[in-house]
Amino acid sequence: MLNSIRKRLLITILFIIIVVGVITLIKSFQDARYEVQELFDAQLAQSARSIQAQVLYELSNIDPATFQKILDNQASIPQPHNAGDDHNNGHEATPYGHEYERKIAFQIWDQDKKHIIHSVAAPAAPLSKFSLDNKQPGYSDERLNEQSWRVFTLLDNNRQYIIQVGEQYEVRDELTNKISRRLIMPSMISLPILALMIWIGIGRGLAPLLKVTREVSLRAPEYLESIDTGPIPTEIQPLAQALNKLLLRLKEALLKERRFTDDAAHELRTPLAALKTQAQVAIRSTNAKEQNKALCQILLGVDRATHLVEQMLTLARYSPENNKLALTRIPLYKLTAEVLALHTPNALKKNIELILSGNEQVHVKGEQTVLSILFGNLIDNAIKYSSENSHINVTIVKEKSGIFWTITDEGPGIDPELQERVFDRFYRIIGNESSGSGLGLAIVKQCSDLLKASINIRNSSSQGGMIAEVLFPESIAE
Amino acid sequence: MRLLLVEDDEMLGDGLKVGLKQQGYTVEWLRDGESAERALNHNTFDIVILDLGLPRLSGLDVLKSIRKRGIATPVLVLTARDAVHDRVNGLDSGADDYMIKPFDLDELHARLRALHRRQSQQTEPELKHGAIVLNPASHQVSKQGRLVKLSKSEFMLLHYLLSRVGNVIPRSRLEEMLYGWEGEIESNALEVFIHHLRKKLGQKLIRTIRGIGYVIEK
Repeated sequence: MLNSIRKRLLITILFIIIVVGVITLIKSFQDARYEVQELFDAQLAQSARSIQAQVLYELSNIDPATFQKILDNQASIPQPHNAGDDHNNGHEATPYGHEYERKIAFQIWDQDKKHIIHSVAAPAAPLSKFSLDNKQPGYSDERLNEQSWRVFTLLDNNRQYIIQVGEQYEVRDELTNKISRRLIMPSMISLPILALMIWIGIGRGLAPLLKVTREVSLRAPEYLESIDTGPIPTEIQPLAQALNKLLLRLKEALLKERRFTDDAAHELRTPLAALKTQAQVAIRSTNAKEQNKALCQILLGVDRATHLVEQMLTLARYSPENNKLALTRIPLYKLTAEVLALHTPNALKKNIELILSGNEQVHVKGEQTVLSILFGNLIDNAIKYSSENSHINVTIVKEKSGIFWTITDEGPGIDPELQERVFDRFYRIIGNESSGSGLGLAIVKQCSDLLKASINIRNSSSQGGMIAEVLFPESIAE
Repeated sequence: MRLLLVEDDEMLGDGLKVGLKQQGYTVEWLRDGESAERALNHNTFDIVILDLGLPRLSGLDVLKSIRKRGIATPVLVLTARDAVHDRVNGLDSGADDYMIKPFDLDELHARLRALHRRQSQQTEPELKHGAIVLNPASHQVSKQGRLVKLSKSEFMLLHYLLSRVGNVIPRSRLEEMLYGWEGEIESNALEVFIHHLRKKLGQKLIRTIRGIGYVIEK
């Protein structure tokens, strides 16, 4: 349930509204109660003074017993209604008074705490025993006959009387309760409306997300265009931008994959087509010389295909997924010399001089076969693209960052734009002679990755040839 | 028939050239897209066999470029790419036919004949003109039902003229068709072949348009 942003937001917002609402209500209730208290207290004091003025004057003329009788006879207070029916004002007020009169009372005592007179419904016990005993004037809260009373005690110093006026708290509470109910009601009605409006509002706010979702669901491997971020709100922009970046990377990856299958198909099928065509030519030819030439071509073709298969197997055998190298300490100079020796016959065919120089003491942690394949392919490559009577230099240099194994030829170099792609499998630079497998540099890259070395290919600025540089970092160099 | 073969693979190109020559085609072999485009812009070929994975300018680009220039020479595409979208792309770029490597030489020949038929708006596989019938597949020519023996060059010449009945073909085009760029042209070789054809098939079959070339009239 809380996985829905809409529901989560709705619940959060409603929760906040309710909490703030309740706090406001409590505060308002307290304020109302305080104001009501003040007003009623003032009235209580006012009543006490009125009684003092009126009743005490009367008491100077008639004796208290007679006065009490007069009071009792005059008053006939309406009986209280059912409890809980108290908001029905029409029944509380009658032509003879108000039922609330029972909740308001006064008592007059003399100095000796002797009862003088009291109002009709007044309790027999002193409204405030403490104030009476201590002759302490002022307000006090009392509990009498299980009712809470607010009492004001007035000391009449001239005649030595104590006047106590009381009022049940119920009266005040009813007013404050009514005020609070008035405050709560609108909130109770508006809350569901608010919830509905918030629900709709959030839904509308989230609509762009749906739009983005629709856009994304339209994407397929054939259709990986970027999402138009123009109409997307700023909050979802980062998501859309991240998606666009992903789409772009996906597109590039797919393109690379497609290029690979195209290149691979070309490299694998062309030699087969050549073999088949040459074989058919040989079968059909009536000319012995032509036949012989076609057969020789087939042999060459098989050699070429064999080389291709070997390169593919090498690539598969030393793939990073299924390889754990058995690392040994290998003398770099000695190994390079051995690999160079293997390629010397090929170099001599083109009268190319192979020159090795540099640090003879360095070692690397690696596997001999992988290193031999790495160097062999680079040397083979250099010989292939070098013109006749040129030089190929291999140098081994130890520096701070590691050991640099560098091969420099005097060939045509490489288009800087294509330097990234030359490591792709089956990628062949346009205009190349097509005798290679298109896998040599892919193998080089794979071997160098496997050895945790890095390979860099660039053009030589001075001689115009190509430089291939393998760096064995400090961690594997000695 | 003069073919332009564009293939960058030495061995395949060599095999195709020899195989096509065996069938009596004159073959010009180029190894990259740029020179193929140049050759097509300046020369007339009957059919082009085009590899798509070419250096310098891809086969597809060559195709698009010559079609844009209005060169309508039939093009048979040779390619290693066999995905449907590749084939559709190739045909939509203006290829007339499509063969995937490795292919069969016999099928290639049959497709070339079909392309040539389509080119000369000919529906039947055999070419007929009066009593003369030429079968391009079997390389046989007959007159009134009797086989007539023709040399390879004579057959090519007759085939060329018969597929363009009513059109005057310039001498230079016929010579190119017979010998290509590399072959040595003897000054009166064409006249000799025409003479032989007339002798074998009738004097009135091929008419000489003086200073221009030859025509087989409708």
